Amino acid sequence: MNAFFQASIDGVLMGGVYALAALGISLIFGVMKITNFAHGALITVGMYVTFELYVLLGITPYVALPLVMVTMFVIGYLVQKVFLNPLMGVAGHNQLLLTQGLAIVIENAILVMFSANYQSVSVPGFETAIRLGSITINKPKLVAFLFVAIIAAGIYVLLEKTDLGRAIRATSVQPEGATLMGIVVPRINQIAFGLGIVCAGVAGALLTPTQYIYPTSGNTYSLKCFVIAVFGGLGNIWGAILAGLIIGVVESFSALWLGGSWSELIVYMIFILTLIIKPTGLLGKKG
Amino acid sequence: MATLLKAVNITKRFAGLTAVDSVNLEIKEGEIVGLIGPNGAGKTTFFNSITGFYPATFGSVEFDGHNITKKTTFQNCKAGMARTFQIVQPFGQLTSLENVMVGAFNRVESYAEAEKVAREMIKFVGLEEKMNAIVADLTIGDQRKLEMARALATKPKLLLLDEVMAGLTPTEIEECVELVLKIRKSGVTILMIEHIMAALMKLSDRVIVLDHGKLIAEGKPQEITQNERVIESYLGRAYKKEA
Amino acid sequence: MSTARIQEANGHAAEETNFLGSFLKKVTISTSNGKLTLPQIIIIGVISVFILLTPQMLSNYRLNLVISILTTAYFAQCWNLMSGYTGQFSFGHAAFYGIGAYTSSILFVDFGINPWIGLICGMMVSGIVAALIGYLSFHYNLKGDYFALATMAFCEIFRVIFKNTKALHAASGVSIPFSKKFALMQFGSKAGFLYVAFIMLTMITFGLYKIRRTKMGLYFVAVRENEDAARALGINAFKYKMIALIASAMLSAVGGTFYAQYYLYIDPTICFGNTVSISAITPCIIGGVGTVFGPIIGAAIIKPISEITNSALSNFVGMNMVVYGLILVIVIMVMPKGVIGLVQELRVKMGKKKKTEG
Repeated sequence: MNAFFQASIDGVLMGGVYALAALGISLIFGVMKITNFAHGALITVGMYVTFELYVLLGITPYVALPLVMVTMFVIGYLVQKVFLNPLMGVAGHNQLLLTQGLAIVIENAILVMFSANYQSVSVPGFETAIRLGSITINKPKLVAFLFVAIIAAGIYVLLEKTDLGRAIRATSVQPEGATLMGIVVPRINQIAFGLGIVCAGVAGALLTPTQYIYPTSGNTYSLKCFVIAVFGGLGNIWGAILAGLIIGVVESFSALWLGGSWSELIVYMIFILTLIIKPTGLLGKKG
Repeated sequence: MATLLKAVNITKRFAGLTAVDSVNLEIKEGEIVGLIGPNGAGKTTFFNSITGFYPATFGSVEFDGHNITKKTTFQNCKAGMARTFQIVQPFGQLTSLENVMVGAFNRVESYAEAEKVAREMIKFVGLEEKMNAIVADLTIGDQRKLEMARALATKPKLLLLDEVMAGLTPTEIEECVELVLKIRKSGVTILMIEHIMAALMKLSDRVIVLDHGKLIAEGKPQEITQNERVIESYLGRAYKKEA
Repeated sequence: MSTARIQEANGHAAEETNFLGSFLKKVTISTSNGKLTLPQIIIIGVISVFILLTPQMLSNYRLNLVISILTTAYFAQCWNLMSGYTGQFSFGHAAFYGIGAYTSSILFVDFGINPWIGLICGMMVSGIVAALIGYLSFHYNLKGDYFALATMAFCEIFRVIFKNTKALHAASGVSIPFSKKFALMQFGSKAGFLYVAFIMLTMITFGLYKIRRTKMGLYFVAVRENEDAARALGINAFKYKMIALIASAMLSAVGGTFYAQYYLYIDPTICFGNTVSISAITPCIIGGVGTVFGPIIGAAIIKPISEITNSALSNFVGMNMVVYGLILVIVIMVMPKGVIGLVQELRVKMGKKKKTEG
């Protein structure tokens, strides 16, 4: 019974971080209809930005978060402006390949700059775990979960309650119509991509206290985030969050029962089943 | 004359919305039947249901003596049913000749033979000068003609034309009317959705009218233009617009 | 009929007054759909003779490079058949390559079955797997990005299975004993492997060239260009997508077996890694997706560049891949139809220039 609770808690906490990264994919797809294959690489970028702030300036990951967000937003904004805006409206596979190409560039540029060595960050006061009876709760994961909740809520408010959010939503439904309404669609695209990348970067930053940092460390999450975004319904933010939590729990239980290395398999199978049975995902609109 | 197409009670629902509601239609061999109605009346959906693009929710379709209700589009094409699209659907990066050859392969196996059929069909619609042009570079009018050539190359018994005259110049419409008559002469039965009433009056033996998914009138073109319900729901407005 | 022919002929004559334009036309126009012209045949002949003479002329290191160009081009052609011709973008072609490599290697190492038989078995297994993936994808109408993601996930599933199953040698991979014997599919020297790779590439390229002028080939392309229109014209799109995928998978398996026999070592990442799938795509993008010679041109460009950057920038591990990724990005942005598309565009522009001048 303890193992059951333990797995549930671990799953939910991990799922929160997945959800945030997947939310970024879903947002980008929802607005631009771009499948961003560079998402995993940008998660890694988030990790290294956090790591560098820690090493060079001694800023701990949680304090560094606003800086990471700004950096990632600028990166995302520029990537959309320079590489993706010129491709909007051409055959979809070109965008797919472009983000794949960017992923290769980013991942290897990191390798050139930082070498393949494993790095890690430790946050004073967060090395210990919280104990509740025989159940342990990993502190950094708990904190990460709280941050995810705050940031997800922030994005929700931004999208639903602000003019910018309304412009983003209008663009996602009907870019041509949005243009007629006086919305500068390319700029909205840049902002949306920036926000999506903020999600990836923050997820990366929040993972730093609990995992090693190396040039391909974000890749593990890349396909998983797609799985979650599709499972939840591409373009649907609540779907991404719900699916993230579900996948987190599923992964944690399959690791418990089948062993860690097989849990990935279960996740991919869920993905394929989703594609076959309901490609619009859990909360996706029909057709 | 024998019945070529018999659609009974065709109903198509999309998530609660009834796009086509119990429509019955019988077409005899050699006829040209016009299908009119306001935008969103369910005309194209009706086409899609008959040709198997989106199978109907209810109802049955009999074609050339066979029940084809459950058949898919490509099977219906093999059986002798060809169509054009409201929004042209060319194979953009292929040449005119290759586009029409794709249709021709519906009946022939060898490349040389398909090429021969395709050349004939392209001449038939009057596009021989654009034989080797990339189709994406053609004008909309030429693309529509090409789409007809492509459909005809499948050697159909029934040709369904979905607004082939939309967006054409008056001269092109003139040519198109001639072309449709020529097609009928070659022994192909035609069911056509059209908004250009003048052309339809000239062409059709019979006109059927859809409104809100329901068949509201059926008869000779002259009868239809005098039908109160049709004027109210469709013609009145359409005539005013065209004038 | 005859008037049409004459007009056509006149059109050609007018365009060919421009020498460079007409040369470019002769070299490029027919690569995507028509027949080969004489200049093309001469170019292909010269390159082929050069490749066949390389073992006498080149060092072992260079020979290795030529072999890797040929095998990369071969694998890219496999992808081209499926994704270039039929338009279904696969991001998991490594699955078929890996299955080919693993089937022949495990049958040989663990069961003593001759690699030649293993090759056939690999093709069969790969074909069956492709049929399963194809059925699930195409029956449920997965397209575009969804299909790309599905193929990627299938490929990852194989990587996880092979990495974690002891009976399949798990993460430690398979080493194939060195023998030099033709009977064991090892062709004596590097020259032997070069000839075999050359034959494989020639065969698949000839096949792609021929098939483009058949009913099936035109149907493939029609499905790519517009699936709805293709269905309306009597094409069973599901069937043709399945044929293309299964054929492509079986041929990819041959590439995998060749790799295993040449390098004598495989592991789950070498076989099923994402970079393997991408290595099939990049040459097609650079040369021109869906063209007969594009993938070969692409491989002949990207492989030497990778190799040169790798040795020139050996102090900066990863720099060669940065260059690789940048080339991919630049090609997509600047010439999305690849080298062949670019040359064709230039030809059209030159033709127009001539017309306005005259």
